[in-house]
Amino acid sequence: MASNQQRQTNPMLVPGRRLPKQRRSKETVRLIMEATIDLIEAEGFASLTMQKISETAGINVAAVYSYFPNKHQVVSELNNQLVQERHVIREKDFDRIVQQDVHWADAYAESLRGLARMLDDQRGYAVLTRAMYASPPLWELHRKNQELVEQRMMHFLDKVDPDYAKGNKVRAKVLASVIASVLELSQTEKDVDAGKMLDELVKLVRNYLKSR
Amino acid sequence: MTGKQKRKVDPLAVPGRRLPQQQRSKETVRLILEATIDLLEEGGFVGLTMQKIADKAGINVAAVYSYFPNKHQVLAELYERQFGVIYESQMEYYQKMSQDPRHWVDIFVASLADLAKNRMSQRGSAALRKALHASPTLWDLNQKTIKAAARQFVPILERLEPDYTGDQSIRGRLVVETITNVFDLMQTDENEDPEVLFNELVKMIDGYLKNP
Repeated sequence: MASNQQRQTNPMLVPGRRLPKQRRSKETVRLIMEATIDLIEAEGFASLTMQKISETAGINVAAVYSYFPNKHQVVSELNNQLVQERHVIREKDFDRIVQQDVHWADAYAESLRGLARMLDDQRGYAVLTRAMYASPPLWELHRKNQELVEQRMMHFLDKVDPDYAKGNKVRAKVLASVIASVLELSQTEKDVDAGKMLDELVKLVRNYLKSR
Repeated sequence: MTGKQKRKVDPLAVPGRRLPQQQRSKETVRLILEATIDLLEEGGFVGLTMQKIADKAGINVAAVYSYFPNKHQVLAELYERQFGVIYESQMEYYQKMSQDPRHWVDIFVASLADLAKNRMSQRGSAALRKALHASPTLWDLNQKTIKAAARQFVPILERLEPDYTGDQSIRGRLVVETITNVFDLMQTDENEDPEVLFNELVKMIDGYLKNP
Protein backbone atom coordinates (compact mmCIF):
# COMPACT_ATOMS: atom_id res chain seq x y z
CA MET A 1 0.00 0.00 0.00
CA ALA A 2 1.51 3.34 -1.04
CA SER A 3 2.00 5.73 1.86
CA ASN A 4 0.57 8.69 -0.01
CA GLN A 5 -2.72 6.89 -0.45
CA GLN A 6 -5.44 8.77 1.37
CA ARG A 7 -7.50 6.84 3.83
CA GLN A 8 -10.98 7.30 2.45
CA THR A 9 -14.08 7.65 4.59
CA ASN A 10 -16.57 4.90 4.17
CA PRO A 11 -19.42 6.55 2.26
CA MET A 12 -21.91 4.18 3.88
CA LEU A 13 -21.15 5.64 7.29
CA VAL A 14 -21.60 9.31 6.45
CA PRO A 15 -24.63 10.41 8.47
CA GLY A 16 -27.48 12.36 6.97
CA ARG A 17 -30.12 10.01 5.65
CA ARG A 18 -33.58 11.01 6.81
CA LEU A 19 -36.28 8.89 5.35
CA PRO A 20 -39.58 10.68 4.99
CA LYS A 21 -42.96 10.01 6.54
CA GLN A 22 -45.00 12.37 4.41
CA ARG A 23 -46.63 11.15 1.26
CA ARG A 24 -45.13 13.85 -0.97
CA SER A 25 -41.64 13.18 0.34
CA LYS A 26 -42.10 9.47 -0.13
CA GLU A 27 -42.95 10.20 -3.73
CA THR A 28 -39.68 12.15 -4.04
CA VAL A 29 -37.69 9.22 -2.69
CA ARG A 30 -39.50 6.92 -5.10
CA LEU A 31 -38.52 9.19 -8.00
CA ILE A 32 -34.91 9.15 -6.78
CA MET A 33 -34.94 5.34 -6.71
CA GLU A 34 -36.43 5.05 -10.18
CA ALA A 35 -33.92 7.51 -11.63
CA THR A 36 -31.07 5.63 -9.97
CA ILE A 37 -32.18 2.34 -11.51
CA ASP A 38 -32.40 3.96 -14.95
CA LEU A 39 -28.94 5.46 -14.66
CA ILE A 40 -27.20 2.34 -13.38
CA GLU A 41 -28.89 0.35 -16.11
CA ALA A 42 -27.62 2.74 -18.78
CA GLU A 43 -24.14 3.59 -17.53
CA GLY A 44 -23.22 1.45 -14.55
CA PHE A 45 -22.53 2.54 -11.00
CA ALA A 46 -19.16 4.14 -11.65
CA SER A 47 -20.51 7.09 -13.59
CA LEU A 48 -23.55 7.61 -11.37
CA THR A 49 -23.64 11.04 -9.71
CA MET A 50 -26.10 12.83 -7.44
CA GLN A 51 -26.45 15.50 -10.13
CA LYS A 52 -27.46 12.94 -12.75
CA ILE A 53 -29.93 11.39 -10.34
CA SER A 54 -31.57 14.73 -9.75
CA GLU A 55 -31.73 15.53 -13.48
CA THR A 56 -33.19 12.17 -14.43
CA ALA A 57 -35.70 12.33 -11.57
CA GLY A 58 -36.61 15.89 -12.55
CA ILE A 59 -36.03 17.26 -9.06
CA ASN A 60 -33.58 19.68 -7.51
CA VAL A 61 -30.22 18.24 -6.49
CA ALA A 62 -30.63 19.83 -3.05
CA ALA A 63 -33.74 17.71 -2.57
CA VAL A 64 -31.76 14.59 -3.35
CA TYR A 65 -29.10 15.59 -0.81
CA SER A 66 -31.74 16.26 1.80
CA TYR A 67 -32.50 12.55 1.86
CA PHE A 68 -29.16 11.00 0.95
CA PRO A 69 -25.63 12.27 1.63
CA ASN A 70 -24.16 10.36 -1.33
CA LYS A 71 -24.90 7.94 -4.13
CA HIS A 72 -23.77 4.94 -2.11
CA GLN A 73 -26.54 5.49 0.35
CA VAL A 74 -29.12 5.91 -2.40
CA VAL A 75 -28.13 2.50 -3.70
CA SER A 76 -28.04 1.09 -0.18
CA GLU A 77 -31.61 2.22 0.48
CA LEU A 78 -32.78 0.81 -2.83
CA ASN A 79 -31.14 -2.48 -1.94
CA ASN A 80 -32.74 -2.62 1.51
CA GLN A 81 -36.18 -2.12 0.06
CA LEU A 82 -35.77 -4.95 -2.43
CA VAL A 83 -34.13 -7.33 0.04
CA GLN A 84 -36.82 -6.79 2.66
CA GLU A 85 -39.58 -7.45 0.17
CA ARG A 86 -37.97 -10.72 -0.91
CA HIS A 87 -37.23 -11.82 2.64
CA VAL A 88 -40.87 -11.69 3.72
CA ILE A 89 -42.01 -13.73 0.72
CA ARG A 90 -39.27 -16.36 0.98
CA GLU A 91 -39.95 -16.93 4.69
CA LYS A 92 -43.54 -17.72 3.79
CA ASP A 93 -42.39 -20.04 0.97
CA PHE A 94 -40.20 -21.99 3.40
CA ASP A 95 -42.99 -22.33 5.95
CA ARG A 96 -45.18 -23.77 3.24
CA ILE A 97 -42.52 -26.24 2.04
CA VAL A 98 -41.96 -27.61 5.53
CA GLN A 99 -45.64 -28.47 5.81
CA GLN A 100 -45.94 -30.13 2.39
CA ASP A 101 -46.07 -33.90 1.77
CA VAL A 102 -43.66 -33.97 -1.18
CA HIS A 103 -39.92 -34.33 -0.62
CA TRP A 104 -38.56 -31.03 0.67
CA ALA A 105 -35.78 -31.02 -1.93
CA ASP A 106 -38.31 -31.23 -4.76
CA ALA A 107 -40.51 -28.60 -3.16
CA TYR A 108 -37.58 -26.27 -2.57
CA ALA A 109 -36.26 -26.66 -6.12
CA GLU A 110 -39.70 -25.96 -7.53
CA SER A 111 -40.06 -22.88 -5.33
CA LEU A 112 -37.23 -21.32 -7.35
CA ARG A 113 -39.75 -20.72 -10.12
CA GLY A 114 -41.68 -18.41 -7.84
CA LEU A 115 -38.47 -16.70 -6.77
CA ALA A 116 -37.51 -16.12 -10.41
CA ARG A 117 -40.91 -14.55 -11.09
CA MET A 118 -40.54 -12.30 -8.09
CA LEU A 119 -37.09 -11.13 -9.21
CA ASP A 120 -38.50 -10.45 -12.65
CA ASP A 121 -41.11 -8.22 -11.08
CA GLN A 122 -38.63 -6.37 -8.90
CA ARG A 123 -37.47 -3.55 -11.06
CA GLY A 124 -33.84 -2.78 -10.46
CA TYR A 125 -32.90 -6.16 -9.01
CA ALA A 126 -30.60 -7.20 -11.85
CA VAL A 127 -28.83 -3.87 -12.35
CA LEU A 128 -28.45 -3.38 -8.65
CA THR A 129 -26.88 -6.76 -8.13
CA ARG A 130 -24.34 -5.88 -10.77
CA ALA A 131 -23.62 -2.48 -9.26
CA MET A 132 -22.87 -4.10 -5.92
CA TYR A 133 -19.56 -5.32 -7.24
CA ALA A 134 -18.49 -1.85 -8.28
CA SER A 135 -16.85 -0.62 -5.11
CA PRO A 136 -15.75 -2.06 -1.78
CA PRO A 137 -18.55 -0.39 0.24
CA LEU A 138 -21.24 -1.79 -2.05
CA TRP A 139 -19.53 -5.13 -2.11
CA GLU A 140 -20.04 -5.19 1.66
CA LEU A 141 -23.73 -4.62 1.06
CA HIS A 142 -23.84 -7.48 -1.39
CA ARG A 143 -22.13 -9.73 1.12
CA LYS A 144 -24.63 -8.81 3.80
CA ASN A 145 -27.49 -9.61 1.43
CA GLN A 146 -25.98 -12.98 0.70
CA GLU A 147 -25.44 -13.61 4.40
CA LEU A 148 -29.11 -13.00 5.05
CA VAL A 149 -30.09 -15.38 2.26
CA GLU A 150 -27.61 -17.98 3.52
CA GLN A 151 -28.92 -17.78 7.07
CA ARG A 152 -32.49 -18.11 5.92
CA MET A 153 -31.49 -21.09 3.81
CA MET A 154 -29.48 -22.64 6.62
CA HIS A 155 -32.35 -22.46 9.10
CA PHE A 156 -34.56 -24.06 6.53
CA LEU A 157 -32.07 -26.89 5.88
CA ASP A 158 -31.56 -27.45 9.61
CA LYS A 159 -35.28 -27.97 9.91
CA VAL A 160 -35.74 -30.36 6.97
CA ASP A 161 -32.35 -32.12 6.86
CA PRO A 162 -30.44 -31.63 10.11
CA ASP A 163 -27.99 -34.52 9.62
CA TYR A 164 -26.09 -33.34 6.54
CA ALA A 165 -22.50 -34.35 7.25
CA LYS A 166 -20.69 -31.38 5.73
CA GLY A 167 -22.89 -28.98 7.62
CA ASN A 168 -25.73 -26.94 6.29
CA LYS A 169 -23.78 -23.71 6.45
CA VAL A 170 -21.55 -24.46 3.48
CA ARG A 171 -24.43 -26.00 1.56
CA ALA A 172 -26.53 -22.88 2.11
CA LYS A 173 -23.65 -20.67 1.05
CA VAL A 174 -22.97 -22.46 -2.22
CA LEU A 175 -26.66 -22.72 -3.06
CA ALA A 176 -27.37 -19.07 -2.33
CA SER A 177 -24.47 -17.98 -4.48
CA VAL A 178 -25.17 -20.23 -7.46
CA ILE A 179 -28.90 -19.54 -7.48
CA ALA A 180 -28.34 -15.78 -7.32
CA SER A 181 -25.86 -15.81 -10.18
CA VAL A 182 -27.94 -18.03 -12.43
CA LEU A 183 -31.14 -16.07 -11.88
CA GLU A 184 -29.24 -12.85 -12.48
CA LEU A 185 -27.83 -14.31 -15.69
CA SER A 186 -31.30 -15.26 -16.93
CA GLN A 187 -32.42 -11.71 -16.38
CA THR A 188 -29.54 -9.86 -17.94
CA GLU A 189 -28.46 -12.05 -20.85
CA LYS A 190 -30.82 -11.74 -23.76
CA ASP A 191 -29.57 -14.85 -25.53
CA VAL A 192 -30.45 -17.08 -22.57
CA ASP A 193 -33.93 -18.60 -22.58
CA ALA A 194 -34.89 -17.86 -18.96
CA GLY A 195 -37.56 -20.57 -18.81
CA LYS A 196 -35.22 -23.31 -20.00
CA MET A 197 -32.43 -22.08 -17.75
CA LEU A 198 -34.83 -22.27 -14.82
CA ASP A 199 -35.73 -25.87 -15.73
CA GLU A 200 -32.06 -26.81 -15.64
CA LEU A 201 -31.42 -24.91 -12.42
CA VAL A 202 -34.30 -26.73 -10.74
CA LYS A 203 -32.71 -30.05 -11.76
CA LEU A 204 -29.29 -29.00 -10.51
CA VAL A 205 -30.59 -27.86 -7.13
CA ARG A 206 -32.85 -30.87 -6.63
CA ASN A 207 -30.05 -33.34 -7.30
CA TYR A 208 -27.59 -31.45 -5.17
CA LEU A 209 -29.92 -31.34 -2.19
CA LYS A 210 -30.58 -35.06 -2.44
CA SER A 211 -26.93 -36.10 -2.75
CA ARG A 212 -25.02 -36.89 0.44
CA MET B 1 -35.37 5.99 -20.96
CA THR B 2 -35.18 9.78 -21.21
CA GLY B 3 -34.17 11.30 -24.53
CA LYS B 4 -31.60 13.41 -22.73
CA GLN B 5 -29.46 10.40 -21.99
CA LYS B 6 -26.30 10.32 -24.04
CA ARG B 7 -25.36 7.15 -25.84
CA LYS B 8 -21.90 6.44 -24.58
CA VAL B 9 -19.09 5.04 -26.66
CA ASP B 10 -18.11 1.49 -25.79
CA PRO B 11 -14.67 1.92 -24.18
CA LEU B 12 -13.61 -1.52 -25.34
CA ALA B 13 -14.29 -0.56 -28.94
CA VAL B 14 -12.04 2.49 -28.85
CA PRO B 15 -9.08 1.62 -31.06
CA GLY B 16 -5.56 1.96 -29.79
CA ARG B 17 -4.53 -1.11 -27.87
CA ARG B 18 -1.12 -1.90 -29.35
CA LEU B 19 0.77 -4.71 -27.78
CA PRO B 20 4.52 -4.57 -28.12
CA GLN B 21 6.98 -6.98 -29.69
CA GLN B 22 10.15 -5.57 -28.18
CA GLN B 23 11.54 -6.85 -24.93
CA ARG B 24 11.71 -3.46 -23.22
CA SER B 25 8.18 -2.54 -24.24
CA LYS B 26 6.89 -5.90 -23.06
CA GLU B 27 8.42 -5.12 -19.71
CA THR B 28 6.55 -1.79 -19.66
CA VAL B 29 3.25 -3.55 -20.35
CA ARG B 30 4.01 -6.04 -17.62
CA LEU B 31 4.60 -3.17 -15.17
CA ILE B 32 1.30 -1.58 -16.21
CA LEU B 33 -0.61 -4.81 -15.67
CA GLU B 34 1.05 -5.51 -12.32
CA ALA B 35 0.33 -1.98 -11.11
CA THR B 36 -3.29 -2.34 -12.18
CA ILE B 37 -3.68 -5.53 -10.17
CA ASP B 38 -2.26 -3.79 -7.09
CA LEU B 39 -4.65 -0.86 -7.49
CA LEU B 40 -7.65 -3.13 -8.02
CA GLU B 41 -6.81 -5.01 -4.86
CA GLU B 42 -6.49 -1.76 -2.91
CA GLY B 43 -9.50 0.18 -4.10
CA GLY B 44 -11.53 -1.58 -6.76
CA PHE B 45 -12.32 -0.41 -10.24
CA VAL B 46 -14.12 2.84 -9.45
CA GLY B 47 -11.09 4.74 -8.15
CA LEU B 48 -8.78 3.40 -10.85
CA THR B 49 -7.33 5.97 -13.26
CA MET B 50 -4.65 5.86 -15.93
CA GLN B 51 -2.67 8.38 -13.87
CA LYS B 52 -2.72 6.14 -10.80
CA ILE B 53 -1.62 3.19 -12.91
CA ALA B 54 1.32 5.22 -14.23
CA ASP B 55 2.31 6.41 -10.75
CA LYS B 56 2.13 2.93 -9.30
CA ALA B 57 4.11 1.44 -12.18
CA GLY B 58 6.69 4.23 -11.91
CA ILE B 59 6.34 5.22 -15.55
CA ASN B 60 5.03 8.22 -17.44
CA VAL B 61 1.28 8.35 -18.03
CA ALA B 62 1.94 8.98 -21.74
CA ALA B 63 3.64 5.60 -21.88
CA VAL B 64 0.52 3.96 -20.44
CA TYR B 65 -1.63 5.69 -23.04
CA SER B 66 0.69 4.58 -25.80
CA TYR B 67 -0.35 0.98 -25.13
CA PHE B 68 -3.90 1.36 -23.81
CA PRO B 69 -6.47 4.03 -24.73
CA ASN B 70 -8.36 3.62 -21.42
CA LYS B 71 -8.53 1.64 -18.19
CA HIS B 72 -11.20 -0.69 -19.54
CA GLN B 73 -8.78 -2.00 -22.10
CA VAL B 74 -6.07 -2.50 -19.51
CA LEU B 75 -8.53 -4.75 -17.69
CA ALA B 76 -9.57 -6.48 -20.88
CA GLU B 77 -5.94 -7.33 -21.55
CA LEU B 78 -5.47 -8.64 -18.00
CA TYR B 79 -8.63 -10.64 -18.25
CA GLU B 80 -7.76 -12.20 -21.57
CA ARG B 81 -4.34 -13.17 -20.31
CA GLN B 82 -5.61 -14.74 -17.11
CA PHE B 83 -8.71 -16.51 -18.25
CA GLY B 84 -7.83 -17.26 -21.83
CA VAL B 85 -5.23 -19.76 -20.70
CA ILE B 86 -7.57 -21.63 -18.40
CA TYR B 87 -9.99 -23.05 -20.90
CA GLU B 88 -7.27 -24.30 -23.18
CA SER B 89 -6.36 -26.96 -20.66
CA GLN B 90 -9.97 -28.11 -20.74
CA MET B 91 -9.63 -29.33 -24.31
CA GLU B 92 -7.40 -32.18 -23.17
CA TYR B 93 -10.06 -33.41 -20.81
CA TYR B 94 -12.72 -33.15 -23.51
CA GLN B 95 -10.67 -35.50 -25.65
CA LYS B 96 -10.39 -37.99 -22.81
CA MET B 97 -14.15 -37.79 -22.30
CA SER B 98 -14.77 -38.68 -25.93
CA GLN B 99 -12.39 -41.61 -25.68
CA ASP B 100 -14.02 -42.98 -22.56
CA PRO B 101 -17.70 -42.03 -22.88
CA ARG B 102 -18.89 -44.27 -20.05
CA HIS B 103 -16.93 -42.27 -17.53
CA TRP B 104 -17.22 -38.86 -19.08
CA VAL B 105 -18.78 -37.22 -16.03
CA ASP B 106 -16.03 -38.49 -13.75
CA ILE B 107 -13.39 -37.19 -16.14
CA PHE B 108 -15.08 -33.82 -16.39
CA VAL B 109 -15.39 -33.55 -12.63
CA ALA B 110 -11.70 -34.45 -12.30
CA SER B 111 -10.83 -31.55 -14.62
CA LEU B 112 -12.30 -29.11 -12.13
CA ALA B 113 -9.38 -29.59 -9.77
CA ASP B 114 -6.97 -28.39 -12.48
CA LEU B 115 -9.23 -25.48 -13.35
CA ALA B 116 -9.38 -24.41 -9.71
CA LYS B 117 -5.63 -24.68 -9.26
CA ASN B 118 -5.08 -22.59 -12.36
CA ARG B 119 -7.44 -19.88 -11.24
CA MET B 120 -6.24 -19.66 -7.63
CA SER B 121 -2.60 -19.39 -8.64
CA GLN B 122 -3.14 -16.28 -10.74
CA ARG B 123 -2.24 -13.14 -8.87
CA GLY B 124 -5.05 -10.62 -8.66
CA SER B 125 -7.65 -12.88 -10.23
CA ALA B 126 -10.09 -12.31 -7.35
CA ALA B 127 -9.85 -8.51 -7.58
CA LEU B 128 -10.11 -8.74 -11.33
CA ARG B 129 -13.24 -10.87 -11.12
CA LYS B 130 -14.82 -8.30 -8.83
CA ALA B 131 -13.89 -5.49 -11.19
CA LEU B 132 -15.70 -7.17 -14.04
CA HIS B 133 -18.97 -6.34 -12.37
CA ALA B 134 -18.08 -2.68 -12.12
CA SER B 135 -19.17 -1.64 -15.57
CA PRO B 136 -21.64 -3.09 -18.05
CA THR B 137 -18.88 -3.23 -20.65
CA LEU B 138 -16.59 -5.39 -18.58
CA TRP B 139 -19.47 -7.58 -17.55
CA ASP B 140 -20.23 -8.25 -21.18
CA LEU B 141 -16.63 -9.30 -21.62
CA ASN B 142 -17.05 -11.78 -18.78
CA GLN B 143 -20.25 -13.18 -20.24
CA LYS B 144 -18.58 -13.46 -23.62
CA THR B 145 -15.88 -15.61 -22.06
CA ILE B 146 -18.40 -17.79 -20.25
CA LYS B 147 -20.30 -18.17 -23.50
CA ALA B 148 -17.11 -19.15 -25.32
CA ALA B 149 -16.33 -21.76 -22.69
CA ALA B 150 -19.87 -23.12 -22.95
CA ARG B 151 -19.54 -23.25 -26.75
CA GLN B 152 -16.58 -25.59 -26.31
CA PHE B 153 -18.46 -27.79 -23.90
CA VAL B 154 -21.90 -28.07 -25.54
CA PRO B 155 -20.86 -30.10 -28.64
CA ILE B 156 -19.23 -32.60 -26.28
CA LEU B 157 -22.47 -32.91 -24.32
CA GLU B 158 -24.41 -33.37 -27.55
CA ARG B 159 -22.11 -36.12 -28.74
CA LEU B 160 -22.02 -37.95 -25.42
CA GLU B 161 -25.71 -37.70 -24.61
CA PRO B 162 -27.68 -37.19 -27.81
CA ASP B 163 -30.95 -38.17 -26.12
CA TYR B 164 -30.91 -35.53 -23.40
CA THR B 165 -34.45 -34.19 -23.09
CA GLY B 166 -33.56 -30.70 -21.90
CA ASP B 167 -31.69 -27.98 -23.76
CA GLN B 168 -28.01 -28.92 -24.05
CA SER B 169 -26.76 -25.42 -24.75
CA ILE B 170 -28.49 -24.18 -21.61
CA ARG B 171 -27.12 -27.15 -19.70
CA GLY B 172 -23.57 -26.33 -20.79
CA ARG B 173 -24.00 -22.68 -19.93
CA LEU B 174 -25.36 -23.54 -16.49
CA VAL B 175 -22.39 -25.79 -15.76
CA VAL B 176 -19.85 -23.12 -16.76
CA GLU B 177 -21.71 -20.41 -14.86
CA THR B 178 -21.93 -22.58 -11.73
CA ILE B 179 -18.23 -23.42 -11.82
CA THR B 180 -17.25 -19.79 -12.36
CA ASN B 181 -19.49 -18.70 -9.52
CA VAL B 182 -18.21 -21.17 -6.94
CA PHE B 183 -14.62 -20.36 -7.94
CA ASP B 184 -15.42 -16.71 -7.25
CA LEU B 185 -16.77 -17.74 -3.88
CA MET B 186 -13.65 -19.75 -3.12
CA GLN B 187 -11.53 -16.68 -3.80
CA THR B 188 -13.60 -14.09 -2.02
CA ASP B 189 -15.20 -15.80 0.96
CA GLU B 190 -13.10 -15.34 4.06
CA ASN B 191 -15.08 -17.60 6.35
CA GLU B 192 -15.13 -20.80 4.38
CA ASP B 193 -12.32 -23.16 3.50
CA PRO B 194 -11.97 -23.10 -0.31
CA GLU B 195 -11.51 -26.85 -0.32
CA VAL B 196 -14.83 -27.43 1.44
CA LEU B 197 -16.54 -25.15 -1.08
CA PHE B 198 -14.82 -26.98 -3.90
CA ASN B 199 -16.11 -30.33 -2.68
CA GLU B 200 -19.65 -29.00 -2.70
CA LEU B 201 -19.14 -27.78 -6.26
CA VAL B 202 -17.98 -31.23 -7.30
CA LYS B 203 -21.04 -32.80 -5.70
CA MET B 204 -23.27 -30.30 -7.45
CA ILE B 205 -21.84 -30.80 -10.94
CA ASP B 206 -21.54 -34.57 -10.54
CA GLY B 207 -25.15 -34.96 -9.36
CA TYR B 208 -26.47 -32.70 -12.08
CA LEU B 209 -24.65 -34.34 -14.99
CA LYS B 210 -25.34 -37.89 -13.81
CA ASN B 211 -29.07 -37.39 -13.35
CA PRO B 212 -30.40 -36.07 -16.63
